[in-house]
Amino acid sequence: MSSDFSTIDKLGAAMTFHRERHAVLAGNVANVDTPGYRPYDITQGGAASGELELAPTEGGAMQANAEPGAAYAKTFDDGGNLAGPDGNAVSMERELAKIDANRTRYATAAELVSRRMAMLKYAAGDGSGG
Amino acid sequence: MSSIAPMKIGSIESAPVVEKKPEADLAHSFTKALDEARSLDNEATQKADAFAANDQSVGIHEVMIATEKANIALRYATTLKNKALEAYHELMQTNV
Amino acid sequence: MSTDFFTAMEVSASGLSAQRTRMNVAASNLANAQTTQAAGGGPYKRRDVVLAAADLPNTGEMTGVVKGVEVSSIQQDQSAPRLEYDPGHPQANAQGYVAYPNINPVEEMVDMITASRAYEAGVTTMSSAVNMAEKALSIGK
Repeated sequence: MSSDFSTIDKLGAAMTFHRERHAVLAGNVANVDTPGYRPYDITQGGAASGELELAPTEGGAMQANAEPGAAYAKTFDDGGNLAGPDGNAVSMERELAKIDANRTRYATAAELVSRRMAMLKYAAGDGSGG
Repeated sequence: MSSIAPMKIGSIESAPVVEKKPEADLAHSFTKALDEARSLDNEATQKADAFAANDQSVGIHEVMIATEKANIALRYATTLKNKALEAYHELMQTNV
Repeated sequence: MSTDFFTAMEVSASGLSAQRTRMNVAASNLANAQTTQAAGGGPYKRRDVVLAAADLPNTGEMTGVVKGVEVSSIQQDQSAPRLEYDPGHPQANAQGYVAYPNINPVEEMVDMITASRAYEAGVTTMSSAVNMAEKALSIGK
């Protein structure tokens, strides 16, 4: 029986990642008409435990984050879009779809935290109405 | 349960042994339920960890179902444990 | 982490603000498509909004990938005005031509619609952030 909080901590870290990612994607939406703007994205650098990872991803990666606890790889993600005549490469539909999927992962992680907490509470009270 | 032959006075030594059917044993059910709970919990934890690492192969329905299964298995095992404990206490209070 | 939902909201808000400016400018252009005598003399000059990505304060390690947007300038059309021959017009010049703004109403409408769609996308994005924050607050309930 896993009576520790490690999975809950990992889910918490995942929620942090998805929250940060929302800010990035919101920026893409805000810049949907900005000349020359290419959409950004971030990915979890594999080590959600805070290990430093300089992980340049293919396709135009920017510098990976080098601060502990925030090893997100930052990339451009044009999604195969050709830039328009003003250089803007944002597809609004694509960004909105990403935002929605991101929000769903966030909400699921939150729900999982709640349920795992409830299980731990139950086990701690030994199922006697705890 | 196999039938018990009526005991004849003075033939205790020849009394047949009652066959024990493991499936009807509460202790056995409890052990099984505990194993199930443990294994489902591992599965749920594994899926939740993968989900937390943003592994796209773990869908939200998968991780939710796995978590609820583990939850139910835990409750079931706990209920069996409580029943076993109850039975034990009752037995201990029986005047022999 | 240095960004929180507040930062994401600021990003979205900057987008809403910029798109509103675009809508206002397009509306102004439309309204003045036939203005031959603007303040300061001469026909109305079409206005164009120039947008630029903007860094927000306090983004910490997320600086560079979290971008707001701002109106960096509103340009006035400097090209020569459109001339129409109309000798009877009070603003006709010595040759009988009247100077009109270089405004194509269809273009302005398209700009308004584009800005309006972008505005709505910003609102949807903001709602997502609010929804996520609410989910976090419901943990344990």
